[in-house]
Amino acid sequence: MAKKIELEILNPRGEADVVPREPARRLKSLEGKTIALIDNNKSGARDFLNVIRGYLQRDVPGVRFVELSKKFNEQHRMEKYLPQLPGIDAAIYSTGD
Amino acid sequence: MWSIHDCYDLEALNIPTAAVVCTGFEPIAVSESQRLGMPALGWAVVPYPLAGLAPAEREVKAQAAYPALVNLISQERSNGGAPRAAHDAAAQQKTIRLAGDSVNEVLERLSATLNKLRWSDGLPLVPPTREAVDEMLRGTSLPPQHVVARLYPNEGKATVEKIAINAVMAGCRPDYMPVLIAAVKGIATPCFNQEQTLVSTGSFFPTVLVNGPIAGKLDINSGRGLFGPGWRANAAIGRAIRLIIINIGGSWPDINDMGVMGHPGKYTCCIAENERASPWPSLAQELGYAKEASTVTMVPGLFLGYFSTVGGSKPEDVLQPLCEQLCSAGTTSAFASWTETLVVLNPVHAQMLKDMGMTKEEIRRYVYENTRFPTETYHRMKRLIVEERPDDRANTISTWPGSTVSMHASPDQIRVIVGGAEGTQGAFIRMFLGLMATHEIQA
Repeated sequence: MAKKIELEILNPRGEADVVPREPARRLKSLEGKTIALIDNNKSGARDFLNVIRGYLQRDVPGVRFVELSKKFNEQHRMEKYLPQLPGIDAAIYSTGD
Repeated sequence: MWSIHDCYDLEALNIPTAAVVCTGFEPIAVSESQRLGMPALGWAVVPYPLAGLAPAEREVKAQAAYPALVNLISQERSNGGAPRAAHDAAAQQKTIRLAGDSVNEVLERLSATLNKLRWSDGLPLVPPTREAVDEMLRGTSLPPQHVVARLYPNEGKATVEKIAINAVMAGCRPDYMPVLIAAVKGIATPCFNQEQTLVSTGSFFPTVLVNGPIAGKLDINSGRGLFGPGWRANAAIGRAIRLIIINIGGSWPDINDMGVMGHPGKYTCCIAENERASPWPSLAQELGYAKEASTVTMVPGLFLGYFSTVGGSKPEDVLQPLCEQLCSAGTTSAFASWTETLVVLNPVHAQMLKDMGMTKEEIRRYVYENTRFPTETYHRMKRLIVEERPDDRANTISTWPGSTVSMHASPDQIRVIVGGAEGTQGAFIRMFLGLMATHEIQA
């Protein structure tokens, strides 16, 4: 009987350092809160958020909004945009297309 | 999917978020949230598309997503020790053992196993044994554990050894290693924009462009058929870059490489500039590198196009067919002002233009001035992809009837090299979201 041919190969995968991080605490209520409505400047996203905005206005007393349209080819960290999002309590983010 | 990244940033600032993700894009949202270490990031899934909807259709989609969006920002969420991706277990192994009754059986098992693990480009692979990888490492003086860069989408560490393993799998020779290392640096250079060009729906194909004496030493084809088959260096270097993106970056189609159509250039795309046949300084020299230096320019290609002309006695006889073809590259032409265009003139066309007294700078200027759209067309094409904003370039240009706008914002966005051989054909690579990144090749 012929001998088995064996091969040992090295793993080609790159290691990635993943640091687990818990998400933010959620809001107990949206009443009187400021919601950021953020889109990535692609077609359809802002129109979609406008409908969501209408529902929140209808359902949540005192809710306020700030809007940000962030160009999809910009990869700056969100810290850079915080001055355009003063006092926000939560964010809804829509990608268009 | 940068929205998930942005939501992660906001969550880290203690701002709860809810994302809207269209169907077909959930896998990349999952992949991104896991990579970032926050699998509890949440999104509402909406049927694709969001663009071009009638108000009633939009209403239906928004109504369905609304409760989930409210819940996502108002109900506690936790990572809760979410399980890692199934194929991660194998990723932790240092080696894999394979056995068979014949060489062919073992090689078939190698390809089948690595393909199943998504560690392959689908073609048969050369086994990366310890011996073969050690031999590959002889091609560089850098230590095996040296981290050259981190590659998207998983921000995997591209150590010299991991680059060597993938180089073996692609069929490289050890002396290709310095080219691969410079190419990896190019991909990770911020202007290349790997965060988007490696994952975009746009089907980008990273192209390795080699300049300098190393191209001749490694026999990288710069002449006839430079984008085609037949040369080991072109084939294997380009293939190694794809395997590096798959294995070190962690990229996989329909998971986090969202290219809708894909591109044959994603298997391999490596060329050299035909410097011997060029009447002008090379691209590397234009960028300030010495003639003796060898460089790699990583090109985030989106569109490889061709034009044909027999030439003539005036610059426009050669350049106008190029300009017309460039303008025909569709909607993304309206975004040329964000990026660069690489023109590949064949040596005959290059010499004709040189004999007409044209420099590369004058060619760039000609192309800039003659790749124009009616302003109305420009606006229409742009609106198909983005909402126009007050700070858009489009709003700085004339809206007079009959006015036109150049595709590029400046002649500097057009680069010219010489490649190929005698004939009527020339080529160009259009980019979209990234810029070319050049690094000198170190031994």
